[in-house]
This record gives sequence, structure tokens and C-alpha cells, in this order.
Amino acid sequence: MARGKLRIHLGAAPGVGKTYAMLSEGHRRLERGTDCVVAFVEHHDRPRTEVMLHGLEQIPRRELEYRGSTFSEMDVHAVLDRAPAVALVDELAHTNIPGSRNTKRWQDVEELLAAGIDVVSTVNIQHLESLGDVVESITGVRQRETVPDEVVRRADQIELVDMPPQALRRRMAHGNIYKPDKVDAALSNYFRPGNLTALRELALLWVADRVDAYLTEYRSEHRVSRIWGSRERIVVGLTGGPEGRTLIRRAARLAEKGAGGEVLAVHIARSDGLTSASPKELAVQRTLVEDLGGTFHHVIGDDIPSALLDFARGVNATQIVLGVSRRKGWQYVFGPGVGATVARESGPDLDVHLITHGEAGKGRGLPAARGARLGRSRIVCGWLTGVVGPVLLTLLLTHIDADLGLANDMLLFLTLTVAAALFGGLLPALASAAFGSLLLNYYFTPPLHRLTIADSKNLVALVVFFAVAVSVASVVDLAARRTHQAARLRAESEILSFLAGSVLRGETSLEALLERMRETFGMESVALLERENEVAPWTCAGSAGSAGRRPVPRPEDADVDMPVSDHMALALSGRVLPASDRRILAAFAAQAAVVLDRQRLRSEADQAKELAEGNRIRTALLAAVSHDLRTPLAGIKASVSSLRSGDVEWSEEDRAELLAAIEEGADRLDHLVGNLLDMSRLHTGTVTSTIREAGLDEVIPMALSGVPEGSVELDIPETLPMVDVDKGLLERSVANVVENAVKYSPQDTPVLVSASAIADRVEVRVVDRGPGVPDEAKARIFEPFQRHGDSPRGAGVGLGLAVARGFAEAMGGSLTAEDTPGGGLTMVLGLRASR
Amino acid sequence: MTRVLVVEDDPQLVRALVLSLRARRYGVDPAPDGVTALRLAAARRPDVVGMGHRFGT
Repeated sequence: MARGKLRIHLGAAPGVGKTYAMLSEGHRRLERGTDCVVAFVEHHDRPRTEVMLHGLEQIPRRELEYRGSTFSEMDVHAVLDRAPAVALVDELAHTNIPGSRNTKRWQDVEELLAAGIDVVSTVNIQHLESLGDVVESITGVRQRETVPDEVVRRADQIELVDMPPQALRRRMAHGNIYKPDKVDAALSNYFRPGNLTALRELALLWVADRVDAYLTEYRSEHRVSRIWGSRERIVVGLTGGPEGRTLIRRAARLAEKGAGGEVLAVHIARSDGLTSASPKELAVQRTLVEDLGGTFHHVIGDDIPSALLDFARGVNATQIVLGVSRRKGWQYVFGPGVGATVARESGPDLDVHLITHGEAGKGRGLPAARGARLGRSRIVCGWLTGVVGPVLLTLLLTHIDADLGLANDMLLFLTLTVAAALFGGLLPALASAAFGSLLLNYYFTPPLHRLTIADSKNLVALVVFFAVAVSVASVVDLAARRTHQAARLRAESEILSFLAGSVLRGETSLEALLERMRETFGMESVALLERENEVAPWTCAGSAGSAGRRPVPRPEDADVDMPVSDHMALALSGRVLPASDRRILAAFAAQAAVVLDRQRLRSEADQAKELAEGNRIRTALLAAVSHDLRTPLAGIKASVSSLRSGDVEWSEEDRAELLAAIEEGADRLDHLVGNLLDMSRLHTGTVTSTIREAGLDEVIPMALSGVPEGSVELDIPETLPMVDVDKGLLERSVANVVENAVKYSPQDTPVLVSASAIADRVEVRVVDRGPGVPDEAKARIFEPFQRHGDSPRGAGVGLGLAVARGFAEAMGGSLTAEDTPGGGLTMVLGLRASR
Repeated sequence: MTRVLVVEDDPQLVRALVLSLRARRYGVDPAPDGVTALRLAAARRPDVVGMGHRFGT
């Protein structure tokens, strides 16, 4: 008999609609005339799911007794007897009650499949065995019910049931997933947006991995050699130099941008072992790559660009990251460099990133301003060509004994002179012209081996040779110098336009600007120093430096000191800059001062804004306090005046009532003044907490003395761990939160105060079924003197929640607001559990 | 009998006012909010209205 097909609806979290999707599929199959039954479906009292069960045949479940309770499980026998074409089985990862036919439901499903029944099932991503650790690290909850990956992987079809975290949380808030009394710390923690996003990503990636596997299979079956980039796979080429770390971090950032990016670092070693790589540095980089979640590879290859590209194609890379060359300009004579070659050969499938780094062209900085002076090597080269060249040429020409004629001899000497001008500038060329003409005279014009010239035509030729040699040499020299100047000016103007643009747009931080300066001039460190006056010590306003280089503390100690203003200076270390570079440096310095100014102004503006906000709060306080102090005072005054007036005979009852009103008014004043004092203590930072181990079942009832009896329902399990709190602060905090909840809750619905533990935290949840608070106002209700909406009966100054949060935070806890599923507000007080 | 309409949302103050006015033989109608006050003003035709300031509704 052919094995049945397994189709799985995979979800990222409870409530995304897996069961619903499975049941819809059941209905569709039934309509198409397939014999489809429900073998086991759990609707969790979710009405929409329950409705979907109508019209589908349900196989009765098997009831089992275990430890005094009754459980119902899928009746595998009954399903096998019924032998439908398709069976719907919910929750593949479920563990059966001991005494069942199999320990796990997936084993039941295997039996159904073996009997030729197609099965449609559901599973949540967190139940996959291999993801146990990851899920635990995300949610803090260890999954006990798991299903081997192999079972899910073998499924003929996997369908992802996806829902954005926001939508899922909305469903949660509407009470569509759980009832409010079911929501405890663990569950609410599970449904944090961060968690849901991570779980969703996990599910998407897991499915994407499956797609990847299919893709690889397909490619090898169909001999597809082009890369099919289903997600970013980034290859980093390492030379073994210190810039590799920068490249690795950069690649890791690129990888993070797309979901599931992967980093593969590769070091290509030559087969002859001749390499400049430092094994120690490579070891460090290997660790770094692995820490960032990538892999490290060694490849042997003599042609580095092609070895790199072969590796990249072999692993289906989509991007290659390389550092810009560390080579100096003249080294490009030997070839265009690895980066350029890789970029040219990479083809359309691979993007090549060339990353600049601290080591790029180190020590070169701007093209040096060369007046008459060229580099030492070029001058030596020029003189060699100009002096030794003619000698060698003479030896050669006299030796081979071939008579080329004087004209050709002269042309050959002229070539040497031009070459000398190209290498060494004007002087070697002049020397070469003079020396060449002497040699020509001595060896090649009759009479030979004499410095006299017999034929006057030869004399003219020699003079013309000398004149041409000198003019060509000067033109060549001038051109070379102009080219160099142009390159330098271009570099300067690029830097200046970068400076002008980025500083005007205000997007550059001081550190970034200094770092750019350091790179441009090839320095080791750059610091912007300032001081109050001429005698004050220098302080560092900002600095940049290559790893391990501390900025210079005083301008006097720097290799380059560039004053910005009387009390500000740039101090650079690493090398002495030529005077020509100082012009650009001055521009940098001025911009750095502007950026610093801008940063300071911005932070002052922020401070001013904060002060204004503080003022607004104080004004609000005055208004609110005067109203809230006055009301109970007016009550007290009215009652006392009534009692004191001699013209009325008060009954015992009236007298008692007036006295009660006085007492209540006094209590309210006391409460208000207490909150005000607490608030000012919190503001001045004088709240001290004495953290001790305490039990919530002891502290919380004490906090409920201020609210009417019956208005609060307590649910604090005895198994709850002790918490590290300041009892006094906790009591005040809880009292304020509960008081607020009671105030807003409908009269006949008690406020639920429950506590539960998750990981190393204990959460107290105060759940009201009042009007609730919209998301955008949730943060505001914790600000002092805020009341949400119209204040109902007995409302006081909006200080309670501000004080409660302040106290919670003073003892290392937290207080946040959430929606109550089905409407209302839930305050969550997070506390540290004792060890 | 002179009728007084007391418009005030603070229960303690209302209680004190109602007690002392009744002791002086005034007819008192307390109203905790503006809507009730308008309804009572129409129905009971008070001679005096005492009202706190800063009302929402």
C-alpha cells in the first residue's frame, strides 16, 4: 500500500491560525469529494475555530484516566478502522498520556501514514527539537513537547502560517487567543513583540532553509551552474593583515541587513608558502568570524583573484567583500591588484564591495607635493638611465660592430635622454644629453676617439641632438610635474567637497570627521584639544586613532600641531606632514571646530527643551495640587463650620457623618502630601531602598488596605519564589497601582491581582476591565500629573503611577502597562526573584 | 421652602453641604455632574444654585 502524504501547517506562535488553516483545508478537500475526517482537533475555546469544526466528521476521542484526571487523546484504532483518505491531526508535537498506544502523537501520525492515510497536521516552530536551545534563549521557556526535525523535514508539503507580530498581539489584546485570567507572566513575556519577531524569523528561516535545500537539489539535478541567490551569502577575502577585522565586521553588518545572511571568511594561501600573512592575526580573525556566526576557510591558490572567485561561486556567494589595496602606487606596474581583478571577473551574479580601512595606503596620505624633487628611487633611476645608459649603449654599439649610421646612433641616445627625463626629471636628462653628445663625438664621429669633429655636418647634427634632447627633456619633465599637481589638486578638492558637504548637512559626528582626517593623512591618531584659557590644561574634545593608539594629550607632544583658535588645537601623531598638506589640514581643523560647536549647541538645545518640559510639569503640578488640596479642605471646612455653628441642633447621626467627612478629607490630604513628598524624593534621588528577601503573599495583602473590600481578587500561588525587594516601597507601589485600577474598573468587576514567575523574574499583574488606555498614551500615564481621559469619582492628582514606577525602579524592578485581553488595562510589576 | 441645587463632584464636600443646609431647613438637591444639574434645575426649579468650578461635563 502506498504511504500516505503528510502536509504540515507550520506556525511561529500560538494563535497565528494553524488549526484554522488546517480546518479550512479539510473543508476544501471535503468539497472536492475527498473523504476527510477530523482525527483530533483542539479548538482552545476559540469561537472562530470552533465554528470551522461544523460540517466535518469527527472521530470520537479516547478517554484515559491518569492520576485521577480524565484526558482525551486521539483514538488511533478508530481512525485506522474508519480508514479515511485524509485525517486532520492537530498539534504534531503533543505528548500522549502514559498508557496510550504511542508516547508521541507524531508516532500515531506515522502509523496513519503507514496505513496509506494522508495526514494534515500542525506544529509550532518552537516545538522542533533542534531549535530547543534557540527558542529557550529567545523566550526563556524550555519546550517540553518536541517533535524530531526529521519528521517535519520528511513531510511532503510544509505550509507556513504567517502573521505579523503586531496583528498577533492585536488578536491577543482582543482576547481571541487567551482569556484574561489565563495570561500570566510567562505567556505575556512570550507575546512580547521582540519574541514574536524572533520566532517568526526563525520559522521563516527554517522554511527558507527547506527551500534552499530543494533549490540545491534542483540545481544539481539540472546542472545549473549560475548562482541562485535565495539569500545573502557573503565571502570576505582576507590577506592576514590587521585590516581583516574591519572587513569581517563590515561583512557581518551587510549580512545582518538581509534575513539569514551568512558570512564566509576565506584566506587564500600560495602553494609555495610565500605569504605575508601573520598566523597569529589569522587566528584572531578566525575567532572573530566564528563569534559573529560566520565560518572561516583556508584555500590554496597561486592566482588569488581566480581562487577567490572559484571559492565564492562554489559556495553560492552573492557578495564578496575585499579591502582596498595596501599596495603603493608603483606596485600597480605589476598588475591591476586583486580587488580590481575580482571586480572585473566577478560577473553579474556577484557584487564586489571594496572596503576602505585604516591600513589602506598607509603612510602615503595625499600625493606628496613635488617641486623639482621626485622620489629617491626615481631620481636614482633617472641618473642611472642618463649616465650609465649611454655608457652601456656605447659599449653595445661599438661591440656589435654593426654600422647603423650616425643618425640612428643619435636617435638611440635621444631615447635614453627622454627616458632619463621621464624617470628622473630635468637634471638627469640634461646630464644625459651632455654626456651622450660627448660619447657620440668621441666614439661615433670621425675622427674616432678624438673630441674633434672633421665633418661640419656632423657638428650641426650633434648640436641639433643636444638642443632636441634638452627641449624634449624639459617638456617631459613639465608634463610629469603638471600631471602630478593635477592629481594632488583633485585629491584636495575631493576632500574639501566632502568636508563642505558633510559638515553643512550636519551628518558628521566629530569622531567620524577626525577618523576621516586620520585616514586622509595616514596618521596614527588625531585629537581635537581645547582649554579654558592660556594656563589651563588641555582637554580632549574628541579623538580618533588606529587600534591601541592613544591620542596625544598636549599639542606640544604631537608630531603635527595645528592651532584652530586661541584655545583649540588639533594634535596629530604618526609622522611629520609636509607643509603643503597643512593647507588641507587647516580646512579640516576649522570644520572640526564647527562640528564640535554644532554638537554642543545641539546638546544645549536638548537641555533647554528638558528644562522647558520640567517647567511645564511644575506649572501643571501647581494647578493640579491647588485643585486637589482645595477640594478636601473645602469639605473639612464646611463640616467643621457646620458643627461649630450654634444655631443648629445636630442629631447624633449627622454629627457622626460630618466627623467622618472630616476624617476622610484629612486622610486624602495626607495621602496627597505623602505622594508629593515621595515624588520630590524620587526627583532628587533621595529614595533609598533596603533590598531584602520577601514573600509576595505577605506584602501584597498589606497593600490592599486602602481599597474597599471585595474590589480586588487575589491570586498568588504559594509556590512562588521569594523576591528581592524593599517591602515599604513595594507596598506603596502595589497600593498605588491597585488603587488606580479600582478607580477605573467597573463597580461590579473586581480587579485581579495575580503573580507568576518566569526565569529569574516574578511578575505581579494587576488586571482591570476598565476602559483601557490606547497604546500611544501608555507611556504618558506614568508621567506625573497625567490623568487619562475624564477623571472619574475620587480622582486625585495623577501622581500615583509615577510614584509606583519610581519606587519599582528604585528597587531594580519595572512597571509597564499592557492591554487586558478583551478590554481594560493590565499593569505589570516586574521584580527580581531571590536566588 | 427654599430649594438649593448643589453642583459638586466631591462626595465629602457634598455630604457636608447637604447636611448643614438641610439642618437649616433648605431643600437640597445634590448633582455630581453638569448633566444631572441641568436635569434637576429643569425639574426642581431651585431658588439658588451653588456650583464648584472646573467642571468637565
